[in-house]
Amino acid sequence: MSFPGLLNYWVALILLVCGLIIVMDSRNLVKKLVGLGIFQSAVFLVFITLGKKSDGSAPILDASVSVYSNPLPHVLILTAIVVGVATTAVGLALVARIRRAYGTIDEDEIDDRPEVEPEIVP
Amino acid sequence: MITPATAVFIPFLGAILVVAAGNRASRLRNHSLVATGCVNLAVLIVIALDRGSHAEAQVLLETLPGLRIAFHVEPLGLIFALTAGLLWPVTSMYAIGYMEACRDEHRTRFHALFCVAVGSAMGVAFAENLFTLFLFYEILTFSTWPLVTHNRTPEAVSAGRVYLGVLLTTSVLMFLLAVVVVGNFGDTLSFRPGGVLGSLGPSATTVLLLLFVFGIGKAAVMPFHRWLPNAMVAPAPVSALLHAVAVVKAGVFSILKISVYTFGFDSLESVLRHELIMWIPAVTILLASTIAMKQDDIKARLAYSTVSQLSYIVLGALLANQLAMVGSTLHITMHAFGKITLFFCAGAIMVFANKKYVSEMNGLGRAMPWTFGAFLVASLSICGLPPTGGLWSKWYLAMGTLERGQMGLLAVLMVSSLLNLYYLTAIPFRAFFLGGDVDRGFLENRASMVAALVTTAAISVLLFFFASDLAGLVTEIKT
Amino acid sequence: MDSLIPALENHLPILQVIVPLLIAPFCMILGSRRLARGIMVLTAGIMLAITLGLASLTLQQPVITYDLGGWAAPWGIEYRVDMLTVFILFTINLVHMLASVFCLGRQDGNLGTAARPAFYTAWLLCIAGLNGMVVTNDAFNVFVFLEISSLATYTLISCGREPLALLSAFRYLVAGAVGATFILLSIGLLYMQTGTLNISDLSRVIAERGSDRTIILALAFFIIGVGVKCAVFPLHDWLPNAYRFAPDSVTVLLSGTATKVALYVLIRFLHDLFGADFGFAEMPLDMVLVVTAIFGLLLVPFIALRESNLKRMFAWSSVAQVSYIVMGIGLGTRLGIEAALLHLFNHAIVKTAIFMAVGIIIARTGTARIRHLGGMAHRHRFASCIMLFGGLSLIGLPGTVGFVSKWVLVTAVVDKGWWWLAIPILAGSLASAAYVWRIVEIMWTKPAVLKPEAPAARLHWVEWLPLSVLAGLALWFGLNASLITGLASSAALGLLNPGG
Repeated sequence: MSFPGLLNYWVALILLVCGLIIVMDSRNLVKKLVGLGIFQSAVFLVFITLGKKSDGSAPILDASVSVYSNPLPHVLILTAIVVGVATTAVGLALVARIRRAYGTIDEDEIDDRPEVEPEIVP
Repeated sequence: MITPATAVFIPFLGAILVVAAGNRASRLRNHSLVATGCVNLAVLIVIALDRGSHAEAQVLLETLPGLRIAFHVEPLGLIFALTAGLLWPVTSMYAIGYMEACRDEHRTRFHALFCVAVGSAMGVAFAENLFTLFLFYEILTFSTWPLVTHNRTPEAVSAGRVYLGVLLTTSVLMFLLAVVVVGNFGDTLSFRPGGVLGSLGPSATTVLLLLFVFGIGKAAVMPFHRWLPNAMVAPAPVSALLHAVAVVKAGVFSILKISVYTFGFDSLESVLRHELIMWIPAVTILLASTIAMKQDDIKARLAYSTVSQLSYIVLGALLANQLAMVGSTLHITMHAFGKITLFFCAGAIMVFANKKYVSEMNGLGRAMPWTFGAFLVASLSICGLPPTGGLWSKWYLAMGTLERGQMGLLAVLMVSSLLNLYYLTAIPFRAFFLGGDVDRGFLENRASMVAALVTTAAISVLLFFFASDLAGLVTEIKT
Repeated sequence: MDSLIPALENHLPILQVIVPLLIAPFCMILGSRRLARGIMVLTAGIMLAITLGLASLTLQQPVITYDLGGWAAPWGIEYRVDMLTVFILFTINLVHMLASVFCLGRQDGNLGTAARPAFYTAWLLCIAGLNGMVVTNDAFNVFVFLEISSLATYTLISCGREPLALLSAFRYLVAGAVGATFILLSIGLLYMQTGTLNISDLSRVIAERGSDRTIILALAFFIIGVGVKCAVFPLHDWLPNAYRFAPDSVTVLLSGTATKVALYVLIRFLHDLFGADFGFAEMPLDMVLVVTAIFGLLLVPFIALRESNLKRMFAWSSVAQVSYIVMGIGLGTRLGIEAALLHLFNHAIVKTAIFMAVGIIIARTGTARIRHLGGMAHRHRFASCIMLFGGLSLIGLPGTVGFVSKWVLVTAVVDKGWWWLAIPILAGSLASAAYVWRIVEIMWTKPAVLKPEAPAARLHWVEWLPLSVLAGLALWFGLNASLITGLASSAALGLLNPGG
């Protein structure tokens, strides 16, 4: 196996772990979404890598080319990217609403607020 | 068409009638209550006369293959059902008087749940298989919880928690587990003469037996007896019919029926350390009697006495011979009539004289002659002295221990009877002979309640003469 | 007309998904809330009818396949309907139908922003995605539909009245997205080794070439990813708050559909894709699933017991009940799957009914705090009785559906020879009795805390009708379970022996 070898997978793995750590560790909601984006991108990278063939060309029929890359993972990843964008959009919309309701986007600060109890008339 | 299912459904129908009539038509409600009881008794008598034709399983529903809701008639169940069915209308009359005297607001709920409880007891009595038995056993548990917590006081609610906690824990963890074991390793869940555990080894049989004995918490074998004294916060009619007859007898009856029809005497013989296991109820008999002696609250004393007497029946079931089986079955009936009379009396003392402690009863005998007279008769029956029916059940039980050669157990039965004699007859003794100088006038001014307790006491005496018929019925079982 | 029906009949698998998907935008475009509600209920009815149509077709022909756009599998996307599919479709579309009717009765105040027609668009998209996950036979398609339904679900949850609904939705979004990405990664790894995405094809290739490290990794990622969606015990963190803060009608919908479909995907992938030999013989999946299930069903009830909010308490109970289903799946045997499916259906109808009853009480009193429930049973008898009945079923008392499925589960564990599992199952039942009875005690015996609501809050038909249907079904299947057990049994059989 030539130079890059498993390099792409290693990169994807590192990104995956980084993303997951950011998602779990940060208390800032936007940073969580950033982490989620990195995490998802890592998986996209795996898909793109597995479609690539050594010395393969873009999958356009041509007499001079005999080795093509597999286009299917790339197409799948297009869909997955769309899904990822939509997830980020919904997430950001929620963050915007949270900021409007609480005036902060920090999880700890929101958790510290006492719950408002409905009024009780004994 | 009169079938065992009819006898099971009539009380449930009664509950619907009672709810439909409600507090607004209270006379109609009371009448329908007593009428339902009488109809139910009539149905039971018809079934008893025609018992041969109901021996086959009557399947109502098949929940899953092998899990059937089905009823049949066999002597043990018939005797239990007749006992409960005979006492129900009497208790209804007593309960109507009692609840009116207490000016209780939730009488409709009380009477309706009472009907449901009696219906479930009928279901237990006629259950054709362990699934049906367990189903009605649990309905009985849940329908009596609102009766125990009837007063809604914090004590009643916490007593209700103990009640449900003990009964549910034992039944789900052990009884249901045992049912699962029988369902998967036995031949069938149905009750068959001679047992259904043919292929089970001795150690598995032993574990199974222990699961049943402790898992049927309603039998109140120590250490799972705590719920019974707790349940005494309920109104007196509940303590009388449910916690002296329907609920507790459903428990011991289940053990008896399971030992006869699920294990069979041969399987029971093969149980490891059989002698040791027989001492479990024996210890309960002695301990509960000792505790009962120390109770000043009359209902608590009766409750511990019940715990003790229930274990007589469990012991009889474990002895695994025909004499003991007859004794156990008779004791279900004899103890039922005796103990319900005692509870009726306790309730009457509570309502008429507003007394609940034994130490306060000096001199009450002249104000309540019928009540304490009935108390004395019922005490003799519990102790097993003539001329009451209690003699015969203890006689057969004693013969059963002799046939096994268990002199130790015989001694336990005798010692416990002496203890009974002491702590039960002490009460009428105090009432009639101590502190007689106080004149309180005549207090027994509710005819329905007095009539009820005199009736049950009289039947206790009558049973002395008719015990052989019951015993003959039990010996029809092919073991 | 005569020619239309057979023509439609051939397209039923795709119609199941595409009808709600196409109708959904109209709720928004038409811009009227009344119209949107009507459309929602109508669509729910059509979907249930399509499911019944599919069911009648599977009676004649055990497996129906449908090639999307005429592209033959394994190149094109294939939809596949068998007994198992129909079983799940029936469960979720029945719940959806009743939840839609129930949703009609929710007032604007309870739904927060849900007064907007867009709420109903999200609702339909959610159920479209769930149906898609069930009928498709394409692994990547499962991921796409999963995300369609998940995104719609996040939106629906965020419509809750309290601001914490937003945070709960956000946390679910993060957890759900991580889970879905794990599933995506798993699908990528599978494609890497097999070069196909069709589930039947994948299973064939895996069986032929045997497993390797990549496929083991794919299985691990898949289990984690789908575990989040199922709310399997240690991965359940998102569920209690999501259920609690979601609008009442959304909780009703989700409790009966979302986790159930995820569990279906688990069953389908384990048996049809990875194959039982790989998952249960080569990998110790049975141990993994059963052990997590034991922890779930023994520990979670104690969390529920300490809970102060009624809705979240029942949400915890859902986590506990999922454990029973996971245990059934974990056994890997035919009886185990049968028990899992049975419990899946039974729990769906019971929990839907319970959440409806909770919703009715919340709508009347404005609170779901458990200590405010004192004396509620005498004020809201119908809802309280349903809650009691549902609670008895959660405990698994004989005569209820809960008993039937637990009995089958116990039979299944004994059949596998793991009879000792009966003890945690029964102990779990007992533990659920504790939290159920805590509620019953407060509602029936404690004095009232809240002032009676001003107008006598009568039950509207949209409230009692779906509840009565659910209660009736639960009662019937509790006493006579032969029909539903037969269906579950043939679904399990069809899964394990697709040929005969």
